[in-house]
Amino acid sequence: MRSRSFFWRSYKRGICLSGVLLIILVAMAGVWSCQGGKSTLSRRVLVIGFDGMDPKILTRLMEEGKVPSFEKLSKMGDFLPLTSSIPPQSPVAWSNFITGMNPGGHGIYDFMHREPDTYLPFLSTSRTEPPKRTLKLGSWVLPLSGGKAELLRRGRAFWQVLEEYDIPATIFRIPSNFPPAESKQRTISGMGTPDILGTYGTFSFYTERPDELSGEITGGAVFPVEVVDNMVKAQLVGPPNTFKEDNPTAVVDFTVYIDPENRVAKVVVGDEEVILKEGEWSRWVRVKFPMLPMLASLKGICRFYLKETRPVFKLYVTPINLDPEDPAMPISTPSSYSKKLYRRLGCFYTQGMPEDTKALDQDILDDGEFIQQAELVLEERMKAFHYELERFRSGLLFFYFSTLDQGTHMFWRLMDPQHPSYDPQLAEKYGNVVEMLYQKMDEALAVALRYVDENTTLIVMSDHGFAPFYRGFHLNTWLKENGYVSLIDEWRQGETEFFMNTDWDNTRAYALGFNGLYINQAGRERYGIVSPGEEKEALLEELAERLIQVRDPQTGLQVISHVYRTDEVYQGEEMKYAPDLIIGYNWGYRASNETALGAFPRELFRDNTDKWSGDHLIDYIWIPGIILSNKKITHRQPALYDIAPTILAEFGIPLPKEMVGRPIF
Amino acid sequence: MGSFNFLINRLFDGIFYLFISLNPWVAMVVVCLLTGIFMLLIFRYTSNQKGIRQAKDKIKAHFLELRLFKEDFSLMMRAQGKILRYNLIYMKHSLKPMLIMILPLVIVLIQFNFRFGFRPFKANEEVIVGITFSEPLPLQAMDISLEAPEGLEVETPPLRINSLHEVDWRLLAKEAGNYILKVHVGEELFTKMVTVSDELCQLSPRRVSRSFFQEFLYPSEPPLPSNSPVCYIEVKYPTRHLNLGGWNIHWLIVFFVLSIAIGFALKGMFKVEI
Repeated sequence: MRSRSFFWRSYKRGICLSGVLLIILVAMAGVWSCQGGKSTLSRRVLVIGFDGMDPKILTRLMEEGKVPSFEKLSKMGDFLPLTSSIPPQSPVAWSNFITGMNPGGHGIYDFMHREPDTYLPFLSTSRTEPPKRTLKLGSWVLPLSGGKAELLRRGRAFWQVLEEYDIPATIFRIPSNFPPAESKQRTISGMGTPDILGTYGTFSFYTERPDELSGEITGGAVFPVEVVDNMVKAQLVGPPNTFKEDNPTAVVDFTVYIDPENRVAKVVVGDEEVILKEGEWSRWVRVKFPMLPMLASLKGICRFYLKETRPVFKLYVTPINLDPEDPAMPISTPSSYSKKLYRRLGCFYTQGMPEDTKALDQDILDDGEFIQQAELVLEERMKAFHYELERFRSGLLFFYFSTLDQGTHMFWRLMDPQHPSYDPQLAEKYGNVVEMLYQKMDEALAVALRYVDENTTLIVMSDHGFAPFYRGFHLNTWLKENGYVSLIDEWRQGETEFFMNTDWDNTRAYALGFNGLYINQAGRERYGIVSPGEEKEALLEELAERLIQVRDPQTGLQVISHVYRTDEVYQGEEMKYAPDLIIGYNWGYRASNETALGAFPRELFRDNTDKWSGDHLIDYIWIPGIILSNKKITHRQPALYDIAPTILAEFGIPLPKEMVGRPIF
Repeated sequence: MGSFNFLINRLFDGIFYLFISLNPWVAMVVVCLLTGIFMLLIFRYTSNQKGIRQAKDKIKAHFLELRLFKEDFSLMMRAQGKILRYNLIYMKHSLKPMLIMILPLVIVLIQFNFRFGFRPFKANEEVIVGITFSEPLPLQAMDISLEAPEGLEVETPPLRINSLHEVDWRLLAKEAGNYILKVHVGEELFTKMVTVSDELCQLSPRRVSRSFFQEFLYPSEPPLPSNSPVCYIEVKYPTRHLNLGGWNIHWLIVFFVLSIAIGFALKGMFKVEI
């Protein structure tokens, strides 16, 4: 009896203890949930980035019923313009998005920054360095330490913050993240990722008649070839071989066999063979550049496009992309992520902006061929999108689409009769390309909507909208004509770039990049002459006032709508490379390419007759991006830097101090 | 040669039958195990086990001698000479099983190469088919065409390469299956197998003309008629690699490492002196 009652007491005590433990566990889980701990794992935030999606165009298409999925999402939650960055350039805008800061915090002000010591430009988002220590053996140079690729964007990315709270994230091809910021999250770099040559994309074009091409070819290389006995022998050009003295260019031979009658050819590169009819794109072909015999080689992938077999042989080769299975530079975190994607999806474009706008601009590809190539890119993206959505269980998924941005840049000219490059005949055929691309994005959104449930917050956003690029303004020429710049030899004006002919001892201000204007400041610039303080202040005020008054003599329109002082619009510690003024161009205007590279053409304006006809490097007020969500947006003037805080808030994570944005829901 | 190839193909088809839908690693491990055991047994019954044991003992003894008499130079030199001598004896005893094993091993390697060295095409993948003639012929003047069954689609006209005596086509694999392509050269008809599949199966990258050596190297299909002008018909299958922790490894390396490791691991169990 005693033993039975002892057993019963012990049993009751056990039940009570278990109950207390259970209550404690439930309470802990609740607290943890509030703190954004592991129990929020079932929560999902899906962010889709459609680069360059414009609210005006999207609203029109929604009204016309052409983008039903966008309309559906808008009705489910909200649709607002999204304030872009100052200036609204993609690397700046996406850095705002990534860090929740403005350029003062993340340090990216333009595609290009300048070194105050040399006045020379450098790419703003990343830097690569060769190995510091090498060993020379005969004509061979062996590296004793690794080279380095460095991301120059500062500040923590939102997925790094999520990682601290154990929230899993997948970040697919976000711009301004090459090399990818250190993280255990799955990330793969996007815009800014170079090709195998280290450039943003250099195509190759093999032709029997290079003389048919007009002007200087930029963004690609043209190789004259001969067809002998229905055969073409040529080389794919790789990067300099740093393992050899004098760094000779690494090359890979390839042969093209052409049928004597049929318009078909076979391309043989190493062990790989592809057969193409005229007007066909090849699958991805692997290319291996030998660097050190038996020991080191550089792997890349490319696609061939057989443009013509006869009468003139023409073959286009895409920029040689880093091989996702074995990339020569870091493109993903963990490094196995790109391999995993390769194994699931096959080869894919790794180059930052893969749509070859330069080949179209240089008439290497025509409009139809460019559209085909852009469709190949989009097809790959859609495959990856399906794959990532399929395995998206919890946490965050960010997915980026570039095709709309690149398409709008190139086809604005055919939907705007006012554009200097407008061609009514081409417009009949390709005038609806931009609209068609919006509809493709709508299809992508339709896919995403199928995966959205009550636990999922969906945010669809773009970094900026679009405007026409009618006329280019040579800002450096204006500075020169108005006495702010002095040239060494006046008669050489317009002949050089990178301020080669600039008399710095008599120059007070200069422009470099697409929106930046710098004061030649004493103590900062190597040959600076303007003292910081009163003199600089007066000059800044004078410049801002006079630039606003600039009128286009052809149209009488105001060229610059706003001039922003960076010390007023930016907050943060990363102001070292900041320009002093940001030029906000008016609708239809933009800095000329010559200005961006520090050149001084003789005229002040030029009509933009290029195919690159739509743009966004203007005043940010004209070209907001878009934001749509399945939730109501309470912050009625959301900006790009509000998205990172919003994502963190969705997981209940307190906002880091450095973020200037605030949650939008 | 044809009957021999037929029998060997069926034998290996039987061995691989259980693994066709499994990861190739499973098949590789099992066949390495079987090969390891097979090699051990051949070694045991064809080598002079007693002689090998004695030679190894002698080598060990002279190594011990080397360690014990480090100071005595002449003794050390004598011991080194004896080690060399018994090594040669050891090799002599191993030679016979090696020679006996070499032929079956080559047959095994050829069979494995057409299973592990290439993978079948997947649906929607492109297929390149080429016919190579044994001598220069006026290809443009000849009537050469390719006929594909349903499931495969010929996508390009013939690409005639006179300098290589070759005609190529590109096809699209539309769905899984084992297909027979028909190549018409004038009045003559030649066939070639193409496999579109996700399974581990024997592939035939090349159908060769009648020749003992060629038939031995390409046993998957019967040879082309001996009086034909065609040297071979080739289908360019993608290379298969075995993936281990993100590394693509050639099947031959995996095969040798695994079968040798298995042989050493099991030598005690089979009481084999290696």
